[in-house]
Amino acid sequence: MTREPSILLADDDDVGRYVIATMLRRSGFTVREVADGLSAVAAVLADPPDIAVLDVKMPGLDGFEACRRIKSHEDTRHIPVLMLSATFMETEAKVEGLETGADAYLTQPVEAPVLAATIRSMLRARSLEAEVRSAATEWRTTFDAISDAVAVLDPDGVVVRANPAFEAVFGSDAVGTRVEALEVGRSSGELELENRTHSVRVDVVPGSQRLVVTLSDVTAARRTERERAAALAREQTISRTLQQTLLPERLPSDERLAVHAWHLAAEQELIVGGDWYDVIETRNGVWLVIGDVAGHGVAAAAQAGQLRHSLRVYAHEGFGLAESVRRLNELVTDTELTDMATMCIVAITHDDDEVRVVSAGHPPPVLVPAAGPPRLAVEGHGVVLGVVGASYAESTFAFEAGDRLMLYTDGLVERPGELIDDAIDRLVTECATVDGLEALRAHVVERLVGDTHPRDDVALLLAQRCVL
Amino acid sequence: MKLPVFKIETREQAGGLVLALSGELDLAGAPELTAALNEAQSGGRALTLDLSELEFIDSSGLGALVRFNNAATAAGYEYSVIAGPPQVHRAFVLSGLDQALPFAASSARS
Repeated sequence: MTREPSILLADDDDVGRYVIATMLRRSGFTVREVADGLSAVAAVLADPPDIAVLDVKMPGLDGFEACRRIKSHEDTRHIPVLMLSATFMETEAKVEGLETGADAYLTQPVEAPVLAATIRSMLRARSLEAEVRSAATEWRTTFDAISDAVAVLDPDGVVVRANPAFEAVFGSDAVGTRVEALEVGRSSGELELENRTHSVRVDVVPGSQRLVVTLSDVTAARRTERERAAALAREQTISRTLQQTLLPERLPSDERLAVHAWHLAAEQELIVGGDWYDVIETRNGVWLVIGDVAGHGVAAAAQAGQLRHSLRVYAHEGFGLAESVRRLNELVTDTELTDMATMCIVAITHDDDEVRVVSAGHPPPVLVPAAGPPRLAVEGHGVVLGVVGASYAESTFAFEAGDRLMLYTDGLVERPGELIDDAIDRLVTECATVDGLEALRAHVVERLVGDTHPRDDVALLLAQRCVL
Repeated sequence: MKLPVFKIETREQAGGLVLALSGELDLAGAPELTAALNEAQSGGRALTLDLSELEFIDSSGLGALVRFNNAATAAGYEYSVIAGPPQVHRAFVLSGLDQALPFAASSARS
């Protein structure tokens, strides 16, 4: 705003008017001059100035009356008025001047700096007012434009102000009434209205007891959430069902070898793991099998099923341990089953204490001898299934009458913040203290998983060669 | 403190390309890694994969490396891997991948 402030000056005395007008022009204002009160009112109405300076004593319409008229007209009431009077005018006149709505009052003779400073001060006040007015308009426009329903409530819950969205929900006569539904919504944070769900937010207006209540329509979001949860539940059901088919219905325990298996599903909804175990009967013993497909969900469960059934076929066709695992690896790499898998097979024969083992990147089984401390049954780690051209070697260890063996998946030993080796060490140590199979399983699960919800599935397969 | 967000930094070194991984490599970072490895291979230049700043790797990360290794082997593309810190390298040892992937001799740790 580089425009010079414009001033309308009204005084019937030509000399006095000339003096004041000159002072004002020198101070940088643009001045329009009139010689009586009626002309002043007309000029202000015709082309509103930034400020009006009126002499009190004028023939016809005096300054007081001119001021009253300016202040009572809708289009001009915001224009500041400065009254000028002669010295002999008493306090009473000054009071009258201010009561007619004048914004300031100066007595003649007035010095130029005082006049200019007074006018600049009045202009500053007016521009602040204008800012407040425009801010209020902006806020009102914003308030009305919000698509959420917003209302201001007094401490009794009566609507003081409401935006159109609020009136659309609660009726155009909501202002001035207490909306009962809001009381419910304020306590629960949510409100059901005509099949639509609104979330309710309450803000206290600082420094007042009034409340701003905002209702957002979250019907669509809630529906999406429900649909997603339902889809998740469906996938979970399918995965779990599929996973059940991965686990043998019965385990071939007999008087020569006791077998116990256990599976704990992860708590996390999406994570249905590809853990599986199996006990395959061979001509002269059994293969204990445990495995874990790296992925999660239906695909991992399906892949685990494919590996489990293929291994049964290889075993029944008479392939050896290492060759069977090599073939499973080919299955994974050739058919692009995509997910890596780990597995471990222990082949036990009933008439030989020496057992054979092959591991494909799987955590090593724990051997719990009848006499002596528990230890890891094997040292080496074959490579995971999924590496093109990988080969696998068998190793052997003694598994004698009374000895126990524990195969498990990494869900048992993968704890956040703990090195897997440390967890495996703890597992080995815990195996020293409990007899039996089921009791041992319960003990290690309690000690390693405890009450924490496992992030991954846990499968355990235990066997004990019986003393005949 | 450095956040364990997974990052891949590409560096030029001795006429070859170095992909330096840092942060936590899991299901979220695996596709980015796969894309970076495939791009490096299609460029046909010598590649070193540096895991020394990696803080964590899960089976998805291992899976991405295994798939790339399978493709690189089939194409006769040679590359090498610099081992990560102990907790990361342990995942390679336990899965037998320390023997299957081309770790640089000097980086063999367990």
